[in-house]
Amino acid sequence: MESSPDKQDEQWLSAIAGHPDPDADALLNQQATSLRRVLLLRKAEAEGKISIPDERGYQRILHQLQQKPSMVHAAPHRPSSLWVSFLRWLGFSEGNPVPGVLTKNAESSGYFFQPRVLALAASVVLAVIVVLQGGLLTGPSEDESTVIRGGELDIVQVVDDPKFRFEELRKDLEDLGVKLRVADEGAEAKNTRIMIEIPNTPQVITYLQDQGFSPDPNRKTFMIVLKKTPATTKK
Amino acid sequence: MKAEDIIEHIRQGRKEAGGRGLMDTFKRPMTRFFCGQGISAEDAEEVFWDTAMTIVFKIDQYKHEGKAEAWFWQIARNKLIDFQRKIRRQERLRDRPSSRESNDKEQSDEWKWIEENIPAPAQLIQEERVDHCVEQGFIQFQLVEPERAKVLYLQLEGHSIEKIAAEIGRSVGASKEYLSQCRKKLAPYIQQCTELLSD
Repeated sequence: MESSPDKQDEQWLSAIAGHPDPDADALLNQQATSLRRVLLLRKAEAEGKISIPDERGYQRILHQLQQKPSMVHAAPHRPSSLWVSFLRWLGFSEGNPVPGVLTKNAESSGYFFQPRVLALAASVVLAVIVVLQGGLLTGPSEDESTVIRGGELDIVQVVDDPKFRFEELRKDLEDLGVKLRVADEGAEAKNTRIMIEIPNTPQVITYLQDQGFSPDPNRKTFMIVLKKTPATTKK
Repeated sequence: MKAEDIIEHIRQGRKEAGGRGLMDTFKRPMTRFFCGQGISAEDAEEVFWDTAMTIVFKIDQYKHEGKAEAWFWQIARNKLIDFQRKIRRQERLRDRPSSRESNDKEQSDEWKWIEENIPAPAQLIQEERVDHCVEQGFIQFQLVEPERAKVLYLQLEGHSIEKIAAEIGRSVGASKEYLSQCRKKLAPYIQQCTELLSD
């Protein structure tokens, strides 16, 4: 049953004061609650408790964005020009394709079984082994210095200011009741590399995921390394 | 700026445009939502800050499933829930350190309460549209009826009718009448918002 207009006014005013009447019309309560939210925010703004637009807040966000490691993966690995020259030297060209990018016609004509190609394949296998062992394939498929990794041993985060980032993590984790341990005091002092150890709890996992890490839930503790961005990789 | 555009700016390294878009588009509605949930303005600003940071850090995890705006609001909602749980936990510990069993029970009740009382993202997006509409109407109303707008602020703060009467220089009876007329006077300014409410 609908209330009298006087009763509705009373219910509306009560909802504005933060005491909606559960028996009031739902639309009336929704409208008054919406007005309450509007008034609360405008009051906070008028009293200087919240500033919108917020230049300082924008600068904080921008700072964090600049701290944020790039997670954009680079374009797929392409053969270096040296490699292409080498293949050309062996007699391969665009019209005479490289194994692995064979055209259908080339495959059907038994191209892969030609002695020259077999010799090349053997050379490639040997070369790949040598290159991998020598650690030369650090190439452009992924920028190691800026990617967050949840590896077997450590999680690495590359940031402009490791100490600042460390303080953020410490404060947030303390709010969760978690105490972290600095595992490498010497490097911390130089602010180039801070290694911290954090116990594994469900809250910590959620928090670290929120922060862009990929913690391995099976580990007892997480070793996080905050590394300073190398000057050459800074944008 | 649309949430999708903010994500694209940040992902493409246009950090200033993305950061500015995030602040300009979402700070006002999100802090309004947080304030409406009964937390102080200062805390609302902190929860927004936390929300914005999480959006920035998780942006690479957004998979274009569902609306980006709903994803932003889901994060805001989770941050508010985290904040409220933290406050309640601190209050509980301060007031009466209790056994583990009673703590678990209280936490479960608390979670239920939060789930029931904090709207889901889709509803938050709708509320945000209504709030924006109501705010535009209220701004116009305040220009035409500044004293009634002032009375509504006093009502918001929960002042007694006697205090309101003293503030506006009217008798208690006249103030009651003046206050009760506010809804009717404001109605034409926010009429279009009522249509949004009934959607």
